[in-house]
Amino acid sequence: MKKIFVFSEKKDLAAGLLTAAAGLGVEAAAFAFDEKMAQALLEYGPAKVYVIDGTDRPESYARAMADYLLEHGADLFLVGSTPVGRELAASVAAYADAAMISDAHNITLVEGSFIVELTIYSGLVCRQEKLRGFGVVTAGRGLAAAEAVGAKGSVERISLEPDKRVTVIKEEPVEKTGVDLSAACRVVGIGMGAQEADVETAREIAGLMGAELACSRGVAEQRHWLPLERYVGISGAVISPDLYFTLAISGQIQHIYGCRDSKIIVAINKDETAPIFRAADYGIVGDIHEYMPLLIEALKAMQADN
Amino acid sequence: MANTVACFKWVVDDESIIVRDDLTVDFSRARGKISEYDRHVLQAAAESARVLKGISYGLTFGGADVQPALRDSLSRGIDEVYYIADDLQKTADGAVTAKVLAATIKTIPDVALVFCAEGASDTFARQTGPRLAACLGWPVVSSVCRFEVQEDRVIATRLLDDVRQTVKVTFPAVLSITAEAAGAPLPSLRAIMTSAKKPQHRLELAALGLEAEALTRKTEVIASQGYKMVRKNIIFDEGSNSEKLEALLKALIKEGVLC
Repeated sequence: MKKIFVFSEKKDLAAGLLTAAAGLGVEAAAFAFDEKMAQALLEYGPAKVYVIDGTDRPESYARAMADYLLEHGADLFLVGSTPVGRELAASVAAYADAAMISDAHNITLVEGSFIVELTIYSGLVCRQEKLRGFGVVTAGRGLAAAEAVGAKGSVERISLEPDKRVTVIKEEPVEKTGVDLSAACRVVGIGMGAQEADVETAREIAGLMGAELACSRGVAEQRHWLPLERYVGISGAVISPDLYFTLAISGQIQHIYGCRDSKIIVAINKDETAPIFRAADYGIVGDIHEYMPLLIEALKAMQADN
Repeated sequence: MANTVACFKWVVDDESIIVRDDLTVDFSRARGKISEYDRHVLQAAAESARVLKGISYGLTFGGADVQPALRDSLSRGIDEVYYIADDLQKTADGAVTAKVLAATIKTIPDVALVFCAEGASDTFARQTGPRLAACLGWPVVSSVCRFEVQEDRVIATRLLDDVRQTVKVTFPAVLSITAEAAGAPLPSLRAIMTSAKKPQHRLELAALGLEAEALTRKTEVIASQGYKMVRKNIIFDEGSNSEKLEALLKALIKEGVLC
């Protein structure tokens, strides 16, 4: 029977990956760094949860984990796609001289080989790749929804040697607005065709629609008008609202990747050649400065009628 | 003297890829570009070399068509560029790429810091930095959003999901940086002109001493298909602005996505 090891420092993500492993009909095991998390993960069906003794960063155990995985006959190491997980996964793959596939959408087991689906070119191309031998795969919460099946495995403590060359000086919590764009039913997005003052107007529109405010990458990363957690795109938030209402967003491919699962996409942009119109269900070619006041007026009237 | 290396990739500009109606993919009009994220990497390496009073090197593993990347990279502040131009790159995976880059870095003198982007804009696989570090036997710091180069070490801040983690690591080391970590200014006309005079070092893949197994990808691509969104593409273009907006809002209410 094939053997999959799972790791994520995020419990819900690790639980989802264990559920995905269970769906493949393989023997599953997990790594954890504390007993409480290990006990919680047992509910998701692994035969073993190995608790690594140590307080170093998870990434610092990459070499030791690679050795452990190879020694214990792992066929696949499935890692949660977080910054910590991605560094750990790529390091393990390198130390094990193994394949790695990032951000898998789906994994199947066909005639004894793992087939992994992924996208490249900002989502323009979907690909299936077959792992040759032991491999590492990262995946997010979309791979499988966590499903508790009842504990039947056991916890075992193990000792692995960390790499101490990178030293943590301090850790500060990231101030987040608490926004979870991926869970929003409606999202208003503002793009590089806007001016800074337009952000507040877009925020008002979002409020009237009961929507979250989002933006394109440049608005957050280059102009710093909104926090990074609010940009939609392949390297940012991937959203799937009922309505994605864009204002002055040009619709570059990496942005579209982040919103392509929206039920309805709307575009208002003065550039009729902007690619956003090809990705939109409904659109108006026009200047947002003319349409935003009208939109606010119309939304307020709708609220008054309701 | 301590030198820096910026790893960069010449990628297909995804805006030039055409997905046909039958979902086959047309690359015939594909243009190349330096991966957007790597423009920040080139700037980071150039700035860091100035702090260290060393030389900044660009490094790319590209196909036979990589030549335009060289002048472009040199106009972005780095002093010299190393490159491997071999069509094996077209089918290389993360494992092969990291081994080729590592073998090349070993030929560059006195390297203290290697910069990579967190991911390339074509595959966005986010593997190269950590893999490269492992191949070199050096430590890696990924997800770096800010860094300060000191005499023999770098202090780097990583943006993780819910914490900013500040770490220190002594040279040599590999940093995978995000776009926040360094700017990516457009090259000046003067920089473009002087880039022609900067040294370019071509290395042959066969000269790197890598065995055939090291140059063989570890996954097999078994299927590839374009993705095309099916959308309504309805444009409201009749009447006044108010009338167009009214038509739009009515459509959204009918769709049940606005109430």
